[in-house]
Amino acid sequence: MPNHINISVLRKLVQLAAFLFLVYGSVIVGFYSVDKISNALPALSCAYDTKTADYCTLIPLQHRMDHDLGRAILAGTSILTALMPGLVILSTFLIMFVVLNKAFCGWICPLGFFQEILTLIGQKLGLRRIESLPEKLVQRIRPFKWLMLTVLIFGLPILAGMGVVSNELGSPFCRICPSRILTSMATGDATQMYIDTSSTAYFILSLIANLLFGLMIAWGLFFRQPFCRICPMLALHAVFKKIGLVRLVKNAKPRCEKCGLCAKACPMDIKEIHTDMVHKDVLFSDCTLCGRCVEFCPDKDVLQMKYAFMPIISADPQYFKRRKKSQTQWEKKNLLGKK
Amino acid sequence: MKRSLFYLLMLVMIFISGQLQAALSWTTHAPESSEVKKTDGHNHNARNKGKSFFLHDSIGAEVEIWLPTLEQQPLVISKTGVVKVKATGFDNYHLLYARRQLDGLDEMALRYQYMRGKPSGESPGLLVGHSKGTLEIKPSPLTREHRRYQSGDTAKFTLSFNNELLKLQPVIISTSNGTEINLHTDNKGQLTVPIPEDFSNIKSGRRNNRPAEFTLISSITQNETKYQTTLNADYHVNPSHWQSRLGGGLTILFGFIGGLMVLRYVRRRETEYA
Ligand code: SF4
Ligand code: SF4
Repeated sequence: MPNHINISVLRKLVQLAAFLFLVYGSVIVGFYSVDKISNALPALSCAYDTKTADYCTLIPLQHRMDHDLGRAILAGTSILTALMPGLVILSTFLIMFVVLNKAFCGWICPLGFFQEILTLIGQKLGLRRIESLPEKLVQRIRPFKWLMLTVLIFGLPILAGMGVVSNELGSPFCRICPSRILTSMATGDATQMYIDTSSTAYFILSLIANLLFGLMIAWGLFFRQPFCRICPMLALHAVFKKIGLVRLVKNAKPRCEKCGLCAKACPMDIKEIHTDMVHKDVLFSDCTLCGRCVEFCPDKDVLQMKYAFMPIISADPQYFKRRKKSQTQWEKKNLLGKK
Repeated sequence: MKRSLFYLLMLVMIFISGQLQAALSWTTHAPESSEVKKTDGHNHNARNKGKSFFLHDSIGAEVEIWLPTLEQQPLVISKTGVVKVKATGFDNYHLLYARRQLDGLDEMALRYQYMRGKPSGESPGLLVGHSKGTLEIKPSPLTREHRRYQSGDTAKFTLSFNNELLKLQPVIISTSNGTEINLHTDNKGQLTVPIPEDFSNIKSGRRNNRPAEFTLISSITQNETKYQTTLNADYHVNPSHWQSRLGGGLTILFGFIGGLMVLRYVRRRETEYA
């Protein structure tokens, strides 16, 4: 295999194709294809993008919590009947999720890809990069994704449906989601970049959305995947990670203890991928199945990405050498200040 | 010569406008005298319930609701033209379809109506694409969920006769806010409709402004039969009245600068404590 072809390059190509398809795809597959494909994609492709070919599951989930479940609780009607549409959406999500598991993040998500591009731009501009966030900080950030999932996707929409909070909080995550601004702007539509003065709730939500978007761009230039770390989709994936066919497996060897290259390579700063010497299943809640840890593991078959028990990518010393060499070459050629 | 041509054109326009009042067409704005309240099923909290509509000039018309699956269910028109539509249990766009075929007259009234329920498994493309009559006005495309027709925007439609696209076909758009504009399709049979900015007393927030309706009407005569079709839809006040794009751009910039400042602060502290 030539030096410049490696899993990261392959992944970038898949991400680019997925980005083009999800953000502009309706131009090719038709305006209504989204209603046919899934309406419940396990990645942040936005329904507010007028050209999207398929959109994320979080928007119909919030709607169902608000319009069906919340209102059924308020009216005292059958919760089970009210849950049905939501369950249909969740089932569609799960059918897709089983196929790729958390790899929807590392290989498909337009927002995940955008953040990787930001980091590349930051590198190219020669900005002083933060290789890994401090472990304490990572531990502190981790619960936020669960908070986002429980409060913004389920809690507030249900309460809005019940009339406990204003119905302006019926789909609060969409109101602050960076993918809404990114993907609509990518199609030349600036209508999602706004400050809404029609009510206090909308004003605050639009303010948070814009500040978060700006913050994500600034931080994305210096360290990897700033938004992913608090993304509610990452948490939703974590709930179902056991049923996905793609797995990350570790056959720990004593050498692992001194190495730690896998954790250094991990864009989500999952230290446990290095420190866990007990479990074979190392698909952690924050993992995006990008496969970088496997790529940068220098020991034969210690880390493996498997598809339904069949290894698809395995750590390999030869590959590792080539990968390291190509990384150094790329950095020399492309990064300002490294020539 | 020029002057007589002008008067002739004016006469035609007045004739066509007069026709609009009498045309078979849907509306949610029932006349005060009818038994239906203006908001029956059309406010935000009644999304999953049935809805009431009014059919203008309804005498002798057959009325149906078409489900997203193309299943057709007959509807009943009251003496005053009110049509009550029960929830079908399905999500997505349905079609309110009215047709009257008399000697020398073939009329059709269409309205695509979003209803709530369980997913039908069908895309609106099926409903829009299916042929409904001789002279047809099709949204191209129909606004998808999370989008709506808005004042100040443009919307596209196609007009076809016996499934052949109609070039340079005259169409009138008339709105419940009192605007009337004469339009025609282009050389490809596409109609671009500038949705009028004709709301008065605009309040801040979409839910604080009732949507208005526009109706497109077009007719053509062939073999001594006049074909006339109307398409009715809601449109909303453009949110740019209470959403500032400049404010949006500036706050993104603040977020960006704030992010850089936080990083600088953290780095400085790190070096101080190192
Ligand atoms: S965690 Fe990142 S990659 Fe995954 S859905 Fe969220 S934004 Fe996309
Ligand atoms: S643990 Fe490995 S596969 Fe998961 S995000 Fe980190 S580097 Fe990627």
